[in-house]
Amino acid sequence: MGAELVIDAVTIKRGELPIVRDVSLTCPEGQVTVLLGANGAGKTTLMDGVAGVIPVEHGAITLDGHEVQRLARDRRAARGLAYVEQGRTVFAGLTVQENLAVGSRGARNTARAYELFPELQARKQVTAQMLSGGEQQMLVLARAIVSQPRVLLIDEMSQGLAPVIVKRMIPFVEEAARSGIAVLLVEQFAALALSIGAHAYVLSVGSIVLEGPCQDLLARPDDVRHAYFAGGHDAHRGHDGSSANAIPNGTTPLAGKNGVSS
Amino acid sequence: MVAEMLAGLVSGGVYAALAVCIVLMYQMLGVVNLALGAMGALAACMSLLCVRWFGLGPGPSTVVAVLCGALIGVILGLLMVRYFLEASVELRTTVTIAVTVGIIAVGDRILNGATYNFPNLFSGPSVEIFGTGVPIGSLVEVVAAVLLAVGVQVFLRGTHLGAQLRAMSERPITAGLLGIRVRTLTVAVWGFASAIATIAVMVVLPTSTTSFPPLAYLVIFALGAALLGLMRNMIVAAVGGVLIGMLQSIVQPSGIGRYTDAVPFVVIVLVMVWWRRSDVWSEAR
Amino acid sequence: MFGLKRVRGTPLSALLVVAVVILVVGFALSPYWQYVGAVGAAEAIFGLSIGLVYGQAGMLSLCQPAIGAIGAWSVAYLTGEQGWVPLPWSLIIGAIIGIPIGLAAGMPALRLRRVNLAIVTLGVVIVIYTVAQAGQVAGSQQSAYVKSPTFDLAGYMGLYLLCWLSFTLLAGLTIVLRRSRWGLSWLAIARSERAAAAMGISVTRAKLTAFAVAGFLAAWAGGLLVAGFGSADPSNFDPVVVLTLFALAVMMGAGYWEGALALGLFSAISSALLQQWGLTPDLGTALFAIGAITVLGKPEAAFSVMIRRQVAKLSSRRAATDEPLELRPFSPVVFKGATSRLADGSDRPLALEISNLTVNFGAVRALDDVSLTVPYGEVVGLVGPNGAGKSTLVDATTGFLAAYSGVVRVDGAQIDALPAFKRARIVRRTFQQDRTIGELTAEEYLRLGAAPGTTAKQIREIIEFVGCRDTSTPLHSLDVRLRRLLMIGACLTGRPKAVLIDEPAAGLSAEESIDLAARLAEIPERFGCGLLVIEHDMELVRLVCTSLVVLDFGKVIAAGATAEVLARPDVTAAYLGDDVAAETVLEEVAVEEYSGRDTSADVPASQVGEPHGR
Repeated sequence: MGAELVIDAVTIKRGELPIVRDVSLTCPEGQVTVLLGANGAGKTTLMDGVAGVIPVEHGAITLDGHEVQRLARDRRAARGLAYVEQGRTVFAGLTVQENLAVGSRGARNTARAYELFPELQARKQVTAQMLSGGEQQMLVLARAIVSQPRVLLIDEMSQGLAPVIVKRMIPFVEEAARSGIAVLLVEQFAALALSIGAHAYVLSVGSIVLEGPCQDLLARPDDVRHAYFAGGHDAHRGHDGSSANAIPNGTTPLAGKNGVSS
Repeated sequence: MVAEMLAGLVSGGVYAALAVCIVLMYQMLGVVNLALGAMGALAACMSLLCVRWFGLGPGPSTVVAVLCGALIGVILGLLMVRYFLEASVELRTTVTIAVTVGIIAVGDRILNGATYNFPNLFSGPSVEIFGTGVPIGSLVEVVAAVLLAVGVQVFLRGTHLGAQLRAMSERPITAGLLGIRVRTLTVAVWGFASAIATIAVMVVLPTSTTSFPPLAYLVIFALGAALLGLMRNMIVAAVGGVLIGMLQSIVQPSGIGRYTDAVPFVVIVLVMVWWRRSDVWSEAR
Repeated sequence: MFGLKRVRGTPLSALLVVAVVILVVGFALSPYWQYVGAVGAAEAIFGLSIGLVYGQAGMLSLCQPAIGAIGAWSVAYLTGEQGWVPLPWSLIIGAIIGIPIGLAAGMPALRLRRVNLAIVTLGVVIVIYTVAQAGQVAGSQQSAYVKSPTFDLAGYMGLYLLCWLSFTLLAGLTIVLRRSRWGLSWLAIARSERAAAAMGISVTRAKLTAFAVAGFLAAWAGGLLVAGFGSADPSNFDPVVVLTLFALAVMMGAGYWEGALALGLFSAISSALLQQWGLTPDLGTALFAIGAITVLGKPEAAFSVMIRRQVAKLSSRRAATDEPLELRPFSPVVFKGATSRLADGSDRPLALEISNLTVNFGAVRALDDVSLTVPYGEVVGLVGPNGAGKSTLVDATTGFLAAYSGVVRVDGAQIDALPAFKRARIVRRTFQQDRTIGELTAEEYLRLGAAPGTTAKQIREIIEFVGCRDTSTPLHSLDVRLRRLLMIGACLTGRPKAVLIDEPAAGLSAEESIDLAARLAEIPERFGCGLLVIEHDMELVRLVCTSLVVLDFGKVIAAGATAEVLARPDVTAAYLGDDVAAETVLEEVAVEEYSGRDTSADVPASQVGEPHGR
């Protein structure tokens, strides 16, 4: 049922700045692939490029062997790509039921949504605006799943939610993968994502700086932390991660600068 | 006074129908379509050509006109979707201003200043109300306009397609990501609104002048009505349109009658200033 | 305007050359064509007027030519059969009358923007036309007759001269104004009102000056038409004509004088030609409409823009981007630590002091009792996850939020009562997005926000300090990284006490961030201010910031020396979501969730009923 998603040497710009630089990664079907990184690393930009929200400058995005980077976003959706954007993009004026059914393929499968999130059943006719943050997140996840996707992109589903609420959504993600969907999960909170993923990539300043099986990375938290915070600067710093710390005393000011005349 | 009020129903119904379309297009498509009146008027002129060239009767030529109206709307919708899909509301509205100019030029050609007999669908029996004869056609028209507003609301709230349109109006990108055919729906709304505008203009044609521009300016009155509904509420817009029509008709014979065209402007300014009174930075880039 | 990239302007001399040519040619024309040319000049002046408000200041005001009507009536009234005031002088008086009318027309623009302004000004056009048609305005009746000037020349040469001399004079005026502070402020508000206010420009004053000058121009043009047509027939100002002129202005790019000139010539000549060929003038109008739509979709296709591109190519200037940019390596900087005492022994105030800042957006608390200080001579970092409230803090501090509670002090003085553009005298900010003005050179851009008394030499030094070599290439030709640095430079020219820099390293490569860090580190000492840097790039933060403030869910969760703060587990938890640490820190939040309150710190999206994120 699922399909493999391959991102191949993709560069994406916002305005004129390259935010994602030459990134390659693979999301096999039936697995949760995790993409980590600090804010500003380019995770959302990458997801937006894959889903068709913004254009991809270079590189290819392949879904089940077919290149999709030139297709419009509704076409990519028709091919089985579902994207849960960050920020809980519910349609505020529509009810829960309408939100679920509004997609092109969603109308038939709303029962599935209520199975996964019984909380939504009780709020069926409530306008999405009135839901709590957690309920809204459940709604967007359910909305994505009822379209029977083959690839599911999830961007920071934990943002702004308490851990207890987030824990509620973990079974959903695991179940989606078990049913064969290729899941790409972007998270800022490493521990959460690594506990449910199979393979992980860490993005920093637009490039992949670390990758490996999730279990491995869970056992090396310092490496992960380092990758988050140092990232692309590694090349300039040498091995000692702690040297870029305090401002040493007694060193000379920057040479060659004249003071501003005033 | 009552007589004038009832006489104003004819134009009031037209403003109401156009106002509903303006609100619909603003909400669903993010454009203030100032060309709506011109589009309808151009298509209405097609009916007159049918009468002249092919000798069609009023019924068939009306049908042809409405189809032409839908076609004009579809063409403009395709233009918008192709070149101005992710443009700002301002830019799209500016395009409709340029479109208005172009259509007026073409429409002027067709009418060419001569007098024509337009097929009049609303001549017929009258009904006595408050001692004045009111053509049944005008009553039907007003009722139809209000029904239009109600009908569109029912459609939007009650059907799958309507839900898709509402979703699209809130978050066009997310709607696209869910597989909703945003471009197709956009073109469809353009076609629908244009067809309605055609019918509305054809209603008012028999009683208006034979120069093209005033037909295009009908949209300004409709805009005033739409603003009464704060560009959001179609039913208020429809009722507002009828009221503006009646107001215009009451004012006409009096001393300030020559200034009736300024009436919608006053409404527009008052609504705008009140609506945006606390905005300082929220709309600024 | 709509993302248009502009090419450097043609100088005043080009205008004079063109003017001389046109005037000389006039002698060789038949009276018919002299008349056409004269009308064309008047329409070109309308073009200057529309171009100023729309093309330069970016305001979608449709009523400029209608204001011309009022000038026309004034001239007709003054000059008419009574002949009180001879023609050249009545023109000037009419134009001066246009100034308050223009200001009145500009009032809606202070509160209304974009579409709303277009709608209201369209209404103004119709009102003016209606009132004129009703015949109530003195001088608008068709019977008023104005003799056109002859200056003892054959045919219509007198009129021709008057009109083209007017155009030359007024176009020259717009060229001079464009380079003046007024003109630069118009370009600034067109690009971004927020950024303009953040540079200390009074948006209100910029808008009103634009409308005042445009009113002057339009009224002059209206007066010329009266001289040409002999009477002030209202049909000259009917809405179709007004909208057609607007469409032409868009098509020709009337923000530049060449565009306005093209507008006038095209309009007049095409009408005349169509008439000669027995074709309808509507044909021209239809073509202008198509032209306008094309330009709206593709701003580079505007006539004046294409001309300028050609001229620039011919003069084959070397592009600034050809030169490679050097990047500086980072050498650690000694922070001497600002003196905490003033000369007279009293305590030195802090550059920036925020106390108990609380911001609510409806039911959501975006900032909760936030306090932080930025001393002189130091760089303070502000970090935190997305949605933590950092941008809200900057907005509140610099005056872009309608309401907040708490106190903001800069250099010891409370600034809460000041509007944004006044706060910009002592506290400056940058924006995450590129808000530079592409048409201006680096020098002009920095001059725009500079404190009074800043010399050209100082401006050049600052440009060099931020790492830009080229002071006279328009910004849109420069690398986007340089533009960002220049945005910082523009803050520094204002000699503020505090500077807030919003995510300067976003999207930069490792080497570029280090270069940026090197420059940022020097700012407090060199410019005598305090610096607050919002960043996600922890490397940059470590290099540059002496202390850090960490925000999460609108609250300060840590503040202190950089190294210490970054080593704290609750800070890394806020970023990494360490399960154990997260549970501890977010316990409060979890309790709130159980008690039914929404824990989301997201700023709510625009209200329902305002579709498309407006």
